Amino acid sequence: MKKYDVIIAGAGPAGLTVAEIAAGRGLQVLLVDMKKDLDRVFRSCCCNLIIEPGTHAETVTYAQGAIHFENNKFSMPYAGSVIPLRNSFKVSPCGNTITINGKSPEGYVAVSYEKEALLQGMLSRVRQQGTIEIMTGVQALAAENVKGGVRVRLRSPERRFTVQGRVAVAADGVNSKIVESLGLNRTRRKFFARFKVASYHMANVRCPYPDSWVTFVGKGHALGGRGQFYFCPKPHNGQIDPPVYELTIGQPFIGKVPTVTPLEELENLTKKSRFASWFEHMEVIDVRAATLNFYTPLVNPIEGNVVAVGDCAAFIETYVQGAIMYGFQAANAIVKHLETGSGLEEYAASWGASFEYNNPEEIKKATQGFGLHVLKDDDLDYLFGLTQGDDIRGFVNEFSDPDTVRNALYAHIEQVRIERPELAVTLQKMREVSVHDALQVKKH
Amino acid sequence: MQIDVDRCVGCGGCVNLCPCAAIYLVDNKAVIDQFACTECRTCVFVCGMAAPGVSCRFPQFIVFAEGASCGSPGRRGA
Repeated sequence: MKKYDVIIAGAGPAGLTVAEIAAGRGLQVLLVDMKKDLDRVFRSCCCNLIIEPGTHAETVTYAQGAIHFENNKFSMPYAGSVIPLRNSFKVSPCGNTITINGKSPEGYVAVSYEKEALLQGMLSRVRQQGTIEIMTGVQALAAENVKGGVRVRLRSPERRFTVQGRVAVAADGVNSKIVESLGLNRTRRKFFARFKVASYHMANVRCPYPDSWVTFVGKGHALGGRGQFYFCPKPHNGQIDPPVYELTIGQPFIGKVPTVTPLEELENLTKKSRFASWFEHMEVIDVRAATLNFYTPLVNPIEGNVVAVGDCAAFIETYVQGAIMYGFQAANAIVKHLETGSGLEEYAASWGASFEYNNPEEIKKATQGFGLHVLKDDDLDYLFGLTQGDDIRGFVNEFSDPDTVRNALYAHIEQVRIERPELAVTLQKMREVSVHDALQVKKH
Repeated sequence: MQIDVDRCVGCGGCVNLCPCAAIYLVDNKAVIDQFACTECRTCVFVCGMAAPGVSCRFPQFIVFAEGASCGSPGRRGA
């Protein structure tokens, strides 16, 4: 049996980054992905460049056809289009908004880009490497550490087979089969919730908030009483003008499965809600979806000779840029490990220190911010109304956004205490969530 | 269980979450191996497109999955 140096499960941004670097150093690489068309994207993906300095202990910028990682000192070419986003709007059920203005020097909150274009570039460079074998339509089912290496079980619709390598990389995403097969979801992580997600790419939208990231906050937006709705312009096959918008509908659940489908939520928001006028002439031109089990991160992403990179080790996601950055770090660690016998622990240390949700305090912050979703619609309308005229600065970034919103609302706490004392108490309670409370989750 | 191919967008979520590993991606759509499926409905619960749902034991599309049985590979100790 042929023995590879590195077997990579998953040809997304993390897997492709590892593949390019490892093969570039002459290692024998096997890259497998269950998809047939590696450069097409069928899954929902935020795909905004998170430009807030310090995200994942890195500062990421887009300039001159590349995404630059300042601290890690490398760049990833990106030949596609971008749409810089200037504001982030949180919209309450009655249409009041919290307006967050871009905090970057250019006044941006994030930069919207196109995942296909990124993957196409990465894939073409990977395909140029001589020491890499790519199997498409092949899914990695499980990994097993063996003496001196690792065995990975693969399957295609036609057959099942096993390959051997010195190191295996789990880059198979948030629902990683490799991570599951090693038992890590049971021994090292806590299960929070499930999400099902649908994204609709739309043409001919009349959005009153152009070049912006829009979040619909509150139960009143959702037919089923719960759901998260995100809306932003997205380059579509390179097209940015007129912009194509992406509406993402996320349904979190723990026990009871939502009875309302995302398609019904789409119909409701675009045809019956108070925002229907935005969508009068809307045409859905592309549909994507995702589903995920939402765990706390893998604090140690190394299990023997298996290295977990990107979303499969994360708390939902590391963003595309995180997948690339951790792919870069993991690849360099693997190269060193295969040359000298040690190196993987450097990647583990870097992951532990830089991925925000490895720190329970960050999970607490997120819990406090997302608590907004449980407030009554009327209270949200009221609170968002209070912030009119405020100059709130921030970014689109799940790590800092809850804090930004919370602080914006707390600036008015004295007024809330007078006008709606009960709401003030609720807000105060939300602020006092402890790490312990934040981590109280149902067992899987 | 069967997948409504008109609804399936091929995100692959059910492929990874199926505890029986009974689902494949074929031509960018999920396809359920009728011999391996135990009708546990996990795919129904997790699909954002409501694509799985036609419950049927008569195979329309059969792929013989050697050794497939319920429980994730991890639970069986790989």
